Formats: sequence, C-alpha cells, structure tokens
Amino acid sequence: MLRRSSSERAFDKVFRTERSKLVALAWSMTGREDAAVDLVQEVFLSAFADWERISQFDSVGAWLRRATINRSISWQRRARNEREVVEKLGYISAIDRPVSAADTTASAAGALDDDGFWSLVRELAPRQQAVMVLRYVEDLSVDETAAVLGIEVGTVKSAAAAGRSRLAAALERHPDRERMEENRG
Amino acid sequence: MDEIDDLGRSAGRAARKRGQRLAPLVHLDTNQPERSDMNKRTAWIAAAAATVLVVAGVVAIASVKGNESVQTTSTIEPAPLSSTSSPASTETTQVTTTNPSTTDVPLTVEPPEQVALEQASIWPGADIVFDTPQDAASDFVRSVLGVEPVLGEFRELDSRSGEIEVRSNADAPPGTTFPRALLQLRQLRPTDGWYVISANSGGASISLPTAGAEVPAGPLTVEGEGRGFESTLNVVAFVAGPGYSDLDLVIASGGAFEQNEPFSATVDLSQASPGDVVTILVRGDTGLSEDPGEFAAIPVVIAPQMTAVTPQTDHPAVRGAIDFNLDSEPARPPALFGYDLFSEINDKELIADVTSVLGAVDDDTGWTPMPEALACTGATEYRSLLWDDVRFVVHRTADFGPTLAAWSIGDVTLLYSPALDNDIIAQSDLTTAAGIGIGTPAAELDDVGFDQILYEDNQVSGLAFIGPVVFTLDNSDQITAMSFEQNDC
Repeated sequence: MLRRSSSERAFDKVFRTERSKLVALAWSMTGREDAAVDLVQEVFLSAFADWERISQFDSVGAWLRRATINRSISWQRRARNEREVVEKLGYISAIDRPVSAADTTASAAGALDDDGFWSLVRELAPRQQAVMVLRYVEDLSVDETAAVLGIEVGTVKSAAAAGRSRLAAALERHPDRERMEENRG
Repeated sequence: MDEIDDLGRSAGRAARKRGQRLAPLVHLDTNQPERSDMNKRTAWIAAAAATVLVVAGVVAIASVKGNESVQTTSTIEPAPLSSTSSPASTETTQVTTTNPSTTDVPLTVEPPEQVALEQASIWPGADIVFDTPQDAASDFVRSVLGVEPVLGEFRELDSRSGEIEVRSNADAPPGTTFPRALLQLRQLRPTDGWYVISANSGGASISLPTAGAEVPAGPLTVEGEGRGFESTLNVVAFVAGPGYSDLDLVIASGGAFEQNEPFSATVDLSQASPGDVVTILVRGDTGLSEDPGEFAAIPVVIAPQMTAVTPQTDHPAVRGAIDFNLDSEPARPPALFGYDLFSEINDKELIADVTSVLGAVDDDTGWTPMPEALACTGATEYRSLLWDDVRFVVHRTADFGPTLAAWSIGDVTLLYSPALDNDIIAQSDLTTAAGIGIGTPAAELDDVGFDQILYEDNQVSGLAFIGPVVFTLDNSDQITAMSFEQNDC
C-alpha cells in the first residue's frame, strides 16, 4: 500500500508539471484547443493505465511527449479524412475547419502571426512537425529531441533541415511576405 | 533561416502561453491522505475523459455524390468509472461503404479476435472484410495515405488476385490523372475478403526486409531505393486495422529528382506484439497534401519472443547499430545499439534490446566481484555480456550504476575489463549508418570524421568522445575488431 501511494504521488506530480506543456505541443500540431486538451487527457489516461511500467522509464516526460505527438499526428490524419468527406457536402464551416496553411494563404488579410506559423508547420511531414514543435515549443536541443522521439540525432538534424527548408519556401510564397519585409526594414 | 527561428521562437512562446491557459496548474490538497488524492485524480481524469469520449463518441458522416455514398458510425463507450482500477475504453465501429461501381458493401469490424489469414497483408487488418478489391484499395488510400482515392481499373491476374493502380490528379491538367503506384490485391482465406498484400512503384522500392519476413519486436532496418520532394522519404511502420496509429515514422533521404537513390532507415517495432503483421510503408514526399506520392509497402510479421539459448549465427547486417556520435550535440560517447558509456543504464533493458536483434545472450557472467587488478576502474562488480562477437561490460558500485564500461565487436579481450575465455561464435555484422563494420577497409575510417586518427602497426585509434575507438586490422588492413571502453585506470 505504501508503494502504491508513492506511485500515485509520482503520477500527480507528473500530471501537474507536464500537462500544460503537452497541451501546448498538441495545440501547435492540431490548431484546435479542444482537440489539444482532449488528446493530452487521453495521453494521461493511457499513462495512468500503465503507470507501474511507465513510471520506471528513465524519462517519463519523453514518453508523454512522444505519445502526445503520435496522437496529434493520428488526429491530423483522421481530421483530414473527415474534412474531405464533409467538405463534399458543403457542411463545414470556417470554425470547424482545422487551421491549415491553405486557410492562411487564402486569406488576404491573414497575417503570418504565431498561429499562421504553426499552420505552416502543420503542412510539413509528421516527423518534421515533431522536430519543429519540440524545438520551438519545448526549446529542446537536437539531442533531447532525439531522445524524446527515440530516433537518431542525425535523423533529427535531417528532419529539421528539411522542415526549415520547406518552411522557408512556404514563407517565400506567403501573401503576407511584403508586410513582413517592411516591418523588418 | 534566422527568420524562421525568429518566427518559431515567437510562435513557441505563444503556444506555451496557450498551453498554460488551457491547462492551468491543478492545485491538489496535499494535506489529504494520499489515497484520497489519487482517488480524486482518478475520478477527475476519468470523468473528464468520459465527457470527451461521450462527446466524441457518436460521429456520423454521410456523403452522397452521384452514386457514391459513405456512411460512418463510430461509438466509443467510456469505461466504468472506478477509483481503484485503471481506466480503460472499448471501441466498436460500424462502417458502411458504397463505392461508385457497387451497391452497399458491408464492412464489419469484429471484436478483437485474432484471425490468421493465409498470407500476411498490408491492409486492412485481418478482422476486417472487404467484398471487392476496389473497396480494399480505396480504404487503404484514404486511411493510410490520407488522400481521396483516384484508382485505375482492377486488373485481374487470376480468380482471386489482381492489381489496381493508385493515380493522382494533383497538379495535373483538369480531367487527367497520372499513375503513382500499383497495389497488389488478393482474396485471402479464411475470411475470403480482399486484402492489399503489397504495393510498389517506380519511385520507391524496399529491398530489406523481404515481404512476409519474420522480424523481432525491436529496431528494424529498412533499405531500398526511392525519391521524393527535397529527397524526403517517409518510412512508416504500423499495424493495420481500425484506429491504427504509426508504430514509428522515420524520415529517410532518397533521390530528389528523377533518379532513385538508396535509403536506409531504422524503425522501432518494439511496441508491436509477437504475431502482429506490421506494414512497412516507404512513401516519397510530394509537398502536396492531396497527392499520394510514389510509395512501396510490404508486410512483415513479428517473430515469437526468443527464449531458447540458441546462438543466432545467420542474421542480416544491422546497419546503424554502431554510432560513433561524432556530430552529436552535446557530445556523446560512441554507442552500440544506442547505449553509450558514462551514464547509468538498466542492464536488463540492455539485454532485452540487444536480444531482440541478435537473439539470446551467448555468455552472461552475472554480477561478479571486480578482480583486484582492475580495482582502478572504481567499480566493485562487473557483468560481461556476449552475443556472437558483440560484448558489453557493465560496472557498478554499492551506490552508483550500473554504467556501461565498454563495448566491443570482434574482440573479447578488452584492456580494462576481465578477459573472456569464449571464442567468437559468429560475426554479428553490425555497422554504422555509413556501413563501417568488421571487414571494412581501414582507409574508409579517414572519412568517418574522427577528431584525429592514429595508426600503429595493426591498430588504428579514432579519437572520439573522451577517448579513442580502437580498431584492430588484419594483414590486408581490414577491420577485424573495434572497441570503446572506459579507461579510468
């Protein structure tokens, strides 16, 4: 019983310290506040169900981040499939539609602000997205990112380079480009 | 590129603020008994999750366009709330699909009862039955590739098999499409449903592993050739079925333009279970969300867990198992199977990880008192583990460790660890991602990127993180052994 109490306290601590960070990660990958909160809730449910094992990991935080990213990627895939079907009916509204680069570039008034940046990131390949959000939301180093994603450091570097290159290309094409240049000047 | 960093940092700050707003710190009453705390947390999470699941539980999408209709009904039932048992959820799904050329085709998702098909397939799961090859192909394209299917005609090869071209109209002139890949389909027993058994295309191919191969539930090296937008190839591993998610996704580099180029990627299958059929998909990036791209896919089967102490002498080369970590930041020591020196490890996890690739351990000393002659290492106990020609030595003291003290390949006579009597049983064929391993000409070490290389007779030392990787050479200057070890003495 004593051991279980210790385990429970550990779970509480992880929940309190990590939840908002994971929601930030999930939001940057989904663009939807409700989805972000739900996905992170599912991650913690999953962690709680297998807490005896997960709590033994060297880095529970890495596991939580990887789980959040995986679920966010799955969410993107489901949302994309559903959106394509529903759009055929013309039922979808601007509010329902996940924010994407298409929305950003289609809107003449749509400034490339923080939300706009993430909508461009969400157009990247999943692994590139993961590397970008860990870099900018979590401020993780290449090494830490590799540890979280369970991949080689070299893979992180190549994904980051490819992601940044594609972001740069997207920025070049962005209709808000001139205004950004003026502000910088 | 600085511009991207500026935007990214600003967007990152905004995301963190949003996270704090959406998920504010939950203050717990820590004066309450711990048990009560946990009950409250369990109930709170379960209640919140129940709300989420119920809200998301019933999704009905109906689409009518010409003679095509898609109807999906998904019901997710929350698990009963319990303060003592782990929360769980069950999911039942019923989907009805009508494709353009057929009447309603029932797609039934049974409870998770394992169905053994006569042949491994890449899609759908064995417990899902499609009555036509077109339906199986459409579902694969929509669910896995995430695009609306544009398919060619079904070309029958025999009464139970055939192929369908996956086409794309992205960036194509109006009314035209162009081929992207070819799906092979077969009607499989015992369900007699149609299954996609593999896929190939001119722009992606998989040479390793082979289709249907038995592989361990661990790191799996995937090799082949491919091309994609900005050289990007997505190598994905997943278990087919409803609600699937990727076991792993690795970005590999192939050809950027018309020419295919070789790629190699290691995907992590450790989350798969023995008997699972895992689909390995290699897909060239297109930069267009509506384009399926060129892709290849094969199924592999997770092997039963190895329990017998049988030396495995015939496994394929494991590319990438050795990493000298010469470009890591911060600097890390050279590693074998991701394990490097100087940090605490779990020796049981190390054994499990290496066993999943090389088979059962051939020699394990267990924790043994360190000989006086090696007291200079600072360790009081050591444990030596040998798989074929691969050796790990782990140290520990009463209050620190275990730590990895040395690793070697092709050499059981490490300088600062007790020698082994064993003969080398078999060659493991481990290499770096660039292919450096036993048998590699020493001259190729010049291009590895060591800070410095020292040549002495039949030995080469490549200076890496706090010490050299030592390579032993034969008379023709080929590598016969390599090692990296803690040299505290």
